Amino acid sequence: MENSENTVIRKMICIMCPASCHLEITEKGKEGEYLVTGNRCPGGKNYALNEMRDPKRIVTAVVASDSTKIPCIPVKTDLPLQMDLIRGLLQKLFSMKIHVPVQCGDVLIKNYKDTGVSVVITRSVEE
Amino acid sequence: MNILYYDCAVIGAGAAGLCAGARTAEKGLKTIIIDRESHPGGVLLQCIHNGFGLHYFKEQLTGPEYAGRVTANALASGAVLMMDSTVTEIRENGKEKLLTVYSGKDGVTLIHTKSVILAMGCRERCRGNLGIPGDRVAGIYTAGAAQKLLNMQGVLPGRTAVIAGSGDIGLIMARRLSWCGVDVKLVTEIMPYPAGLSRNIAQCLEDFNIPLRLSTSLTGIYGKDRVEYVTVAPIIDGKADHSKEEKIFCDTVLFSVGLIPENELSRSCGIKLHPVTNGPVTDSNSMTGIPGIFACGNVLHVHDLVDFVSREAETAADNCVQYIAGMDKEETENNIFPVSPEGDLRYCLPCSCKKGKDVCFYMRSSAVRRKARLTVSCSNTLLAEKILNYVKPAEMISLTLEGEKLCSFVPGSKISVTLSPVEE
Ligand SMILES: Cc1cc2nc3c(=O)[nH]c(=O)nc-3n(C[C@H](O)[C@H](O)[C@H](O)COP(=O)(O)OP(=O)(O)OC[C@H]3O[C@@H](n4cnc5c(N)ncnc54)[C@H](O)[C@@H]3O)c2cc1C
Ligand code: SF4
Repeated sequence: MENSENTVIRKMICIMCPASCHLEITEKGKEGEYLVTGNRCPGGKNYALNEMRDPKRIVTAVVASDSTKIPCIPVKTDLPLQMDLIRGLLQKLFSMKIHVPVQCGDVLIKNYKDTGVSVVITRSVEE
Repeated sequence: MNILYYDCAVIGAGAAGLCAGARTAEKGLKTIIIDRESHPGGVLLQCIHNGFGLHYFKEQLTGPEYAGRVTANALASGAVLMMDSTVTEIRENGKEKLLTVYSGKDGVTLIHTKSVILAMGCRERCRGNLGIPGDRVAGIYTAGAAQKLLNMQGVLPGRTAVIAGSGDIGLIMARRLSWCGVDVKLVTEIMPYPAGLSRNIAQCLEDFNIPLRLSTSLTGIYGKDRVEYVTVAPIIDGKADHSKEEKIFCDTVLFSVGLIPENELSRSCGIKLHPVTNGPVTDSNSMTGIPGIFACGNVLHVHDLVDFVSREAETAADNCVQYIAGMDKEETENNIFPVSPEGDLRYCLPCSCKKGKDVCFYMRSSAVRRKARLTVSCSNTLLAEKILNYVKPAEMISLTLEGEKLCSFVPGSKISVTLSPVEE
């Protein structure tokens, strides 16, 4: 078909920065090759291609602590994690307890399930 | 009673107060930052999600990380942090100001200061402000209160939730609750467009298949002791159509219906407030109607990006430093240009500007536009122009005007800042 090359197969909003660009993805001839438009910077193209192949997200949560002042300590993944692994990671975090003192940037879980993604602490808590 | 003397007293140790106080202290003003909470950081501490600081720190940070960095900067600058202390009154005493501060530990402290920077942030609108009928039951929260409960205390507000209003806090909470296993059934929005950032619609609702119903009103909340169900109805011709009302079962309702700058203190000392922003009216020196009192951050107008808060705070701090340096000199020349928001603009700050001084305008649109033109003009002469894509009320717009562009105009002339749609 002549015009199938130009059909937009998916629309999405880039979440990489607050500009929230409206991206349009078109199939480029061969299957699995895409053309991205609407992005204001190269980050948007990468985001769209990742979304088409293997969507990932940064995960944030709080973990219980033994601090007398701050009962919950915030954490995040240092890199985006595959979406289907998020629930499992959250389950694990819910069952943990952090011993203070901790520094912002301390690693709580290193290389989760061999993904290369680690969980780090995002708030320093002294006592 | 304790008595303290400072050049600059900053009220509030959120992003705005910490950035402003760090700057005034760095520039040599003896500075104190006062906050009623035990830990500095303000609302950032409960915003554990990431998406902060891309402009200011050139990195995606979480709220607590951003708070940690600006707190460290403030401490390194030599500013004094006074926590667990509430400012209850501001008074003018000749050219200086007197602050009454109350703390459980030290009782009443009187602070004599040459200048004040208001950085009290904002608070959430609640159900009472909206007048929704139904039963008085447990399980009703503002989105921010639920966020604080969950992220600071680790307490889950419920099992099944409906969120009224599509503000960013509500959207962020939809994701947060879903990740905690709560079934978020629906987000309703009375306007025909979402109130929050597009990226939050994508990553907080679409990722979890949470429906967003626009032009829809929450018409009632019912239950015995705890919320059992809510009713929602589409809005037709500006009114909820009760004939199409629908029941949705849930045990929790979150309201995310906007924020109001926290200005009881400003009002009580006679600072004039802006009818649209609910924050103080400021000039291009970030100064309120009372000389020596400045304002920045959410107390001035509600921000969606903390990066803008930090930048606005530093500008206010620089202006405060200049004010103190020139305190003995009276401004002789009349050099004020009133600023008027026009076209699609809901408001534009500051409300006036001066020649010879660069000014960054912050504004919000009242309409959703695919493409729009923003112009600044004076006496029919175009001074600055910018083309914008996807303009919406949820996203703040900023534009800098170089002060020298005003040199050939007569003070008193109106500066028009205009947002108009571009047809494609
Ligand atoms: C829930 C939520 C989510 C957000 N998400 C994002 C995001 O993803 N990305 C982003 O860039 N921005 C986000 N923002 C916006 C940004 O974080 C805020 O606009 C910014 O942090 C506000 O800073 P502030 O200092 O003006 O106010 P606050 O942080 O509210 O600080 C005000 C401080 O003043 C103190 N105070 C008030 N009155 C008194 C008094 N009388 N005496 C003593 N102390 C007083 C309060 O205790 C408080 O600590 C979000 C905002 C909210 C509310
Ligand atoms: S495409 Fe670039 S500018 Fe646009 S939202 Fe994504 S990261 Fe931001």
